[in-house]
Amino acid sequence: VRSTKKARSSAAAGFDVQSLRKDFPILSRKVHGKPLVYFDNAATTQRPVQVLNALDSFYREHNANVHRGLHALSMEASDLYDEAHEKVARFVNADGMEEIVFTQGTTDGLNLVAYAYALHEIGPGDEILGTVMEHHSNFVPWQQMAKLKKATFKQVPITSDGHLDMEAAKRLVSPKTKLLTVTAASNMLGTINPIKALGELAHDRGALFLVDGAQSVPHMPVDVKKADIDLLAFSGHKMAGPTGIGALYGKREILEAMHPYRYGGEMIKRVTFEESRWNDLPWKFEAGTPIIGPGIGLGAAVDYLTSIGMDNIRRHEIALTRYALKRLAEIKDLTVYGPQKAEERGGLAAFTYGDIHAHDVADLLDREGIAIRAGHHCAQPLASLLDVVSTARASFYLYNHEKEVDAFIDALQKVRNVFTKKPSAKVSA
Amino acid sequence: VTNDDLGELGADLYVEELIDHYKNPRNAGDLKGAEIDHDGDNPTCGDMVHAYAKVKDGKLEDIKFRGKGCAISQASADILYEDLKGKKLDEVKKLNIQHVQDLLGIKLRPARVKCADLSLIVIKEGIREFESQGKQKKAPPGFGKGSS
Repeated sequence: VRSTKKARSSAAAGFDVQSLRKDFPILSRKVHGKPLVYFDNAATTQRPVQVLNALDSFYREHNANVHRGLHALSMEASDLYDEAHEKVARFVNADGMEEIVFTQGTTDGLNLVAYAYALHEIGPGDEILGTVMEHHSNFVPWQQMAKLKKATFKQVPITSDGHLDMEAAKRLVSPKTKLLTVTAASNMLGTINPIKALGELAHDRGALFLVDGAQSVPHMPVDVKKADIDLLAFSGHKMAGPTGIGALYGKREILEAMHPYRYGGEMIKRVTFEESRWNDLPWKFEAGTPIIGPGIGLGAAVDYLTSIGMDNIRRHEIALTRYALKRLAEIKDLTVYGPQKAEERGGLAAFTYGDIHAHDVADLLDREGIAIRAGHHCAQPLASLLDVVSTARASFYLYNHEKEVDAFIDALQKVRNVFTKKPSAKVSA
Repeated sequence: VTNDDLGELGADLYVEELIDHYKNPRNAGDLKGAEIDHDGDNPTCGDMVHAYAKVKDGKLEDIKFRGKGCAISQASADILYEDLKGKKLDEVKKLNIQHVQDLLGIKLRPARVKCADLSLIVIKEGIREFESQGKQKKAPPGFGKGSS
């Protein structure tokens, strides 16, 4: 039964999960003597040899600073670095590398918007509208910027089934709203938000539309033109790329209208004692020696994901999530948060397990070689709304498969046993 | 990157004619009452070109420049601007680096393309600026004082 099921799931995915796993060396290691089951992909994913090799070959063969030198290595490094921008641009359907700023990651990209846009354009009485399901990285910058600029930060609430309350969103977007910002997929509820409808809502009221793509860009096709997104921030390390690199997409006219927020070399055209003139896009926002090696690594990650196909990855994750939700429902006292249909959510499941604390769940699963996350998932406002302090979260990626879900379910049963076991003997002092 | 375009220590890159345009530019200077007055930089090496042009009947009636920078940036500005005299603005807007390469008649190494491209970029930007005069640029959503 198991093998036919596996074959079916691979066929649905359009790629062979077992052979793809060979691209990820870390997946073959053991943890505490057990085969690693890596279910912490919403935090960070693993990298395939194609990305590791791109980093290695850059440092071994082409390393130099970019955009300055006239020597061969500098030209090679510049070409590779520029090309990585082009790859990322094609990946989200942007109009060329001018619309792709390399950042340190999603947090850095969102803060870039806070300092390059909001600091200059938001004023007293203006409103910034977010949602209650934002990650801290797309919550704290707006809370603090609103304080600094004497503006108001409001949040769209969620419905009882974990979707954004779109009726409330329509009421909350007002002529005072300068910025509407929303996560494309919640890192805790898994909810996939209606980005196109939200973009229309923002633009109808003349507001800027910013999307946190940290949990969407790695897992599903994202087209900034189709969804009419003004600004989109995402991370490399959540999509099989290196840590320390991410990208901010911005429509050209918006990036042009935004102010630089970090000053120095690389981002200038001309500097006099009195004035400075900014460099062309995207370099205006990449002050200092940029994140060259990891940027090239991100380009390789994009190549890898493109070769698998984002539609295929999404299909695979839906099938796996559907299976995981079905198996999790078999466990007594286990509550999964967010929409219950796999099609309406990303490939993750945050849950509570009776009165067993999430940290205990995560610790006991680790002893079985299973890596999951426990905590508030950097979404404390949302956790407080749901009245949970801490949840456990299993999150999937293209290399996970049903057998791993089975091992996870078995381990969860063991966790229950640890907490229901009667003490067999008195503990001696 | 190949080095076959380098020739003998890049001698073909620094041909006599090019050096002559660099040392004795024919179109150096500014123009009083120029409709186009625009400058630009190549931040990699600090090249600078400031273009001045008189516009009449949609054509570049005259064009001059002031600049600082490497031999390639300055000589190509001089050679290009000589060529652009009398050309229609619409025609100039369509030109790309290949046109400068053809005028120079030498193959540029990738790192030097930007040097040769600067004077063309500057005059194209200047034309765009000239044509958009008086036109109010619409602010993107979320920008500008007061919301819609």
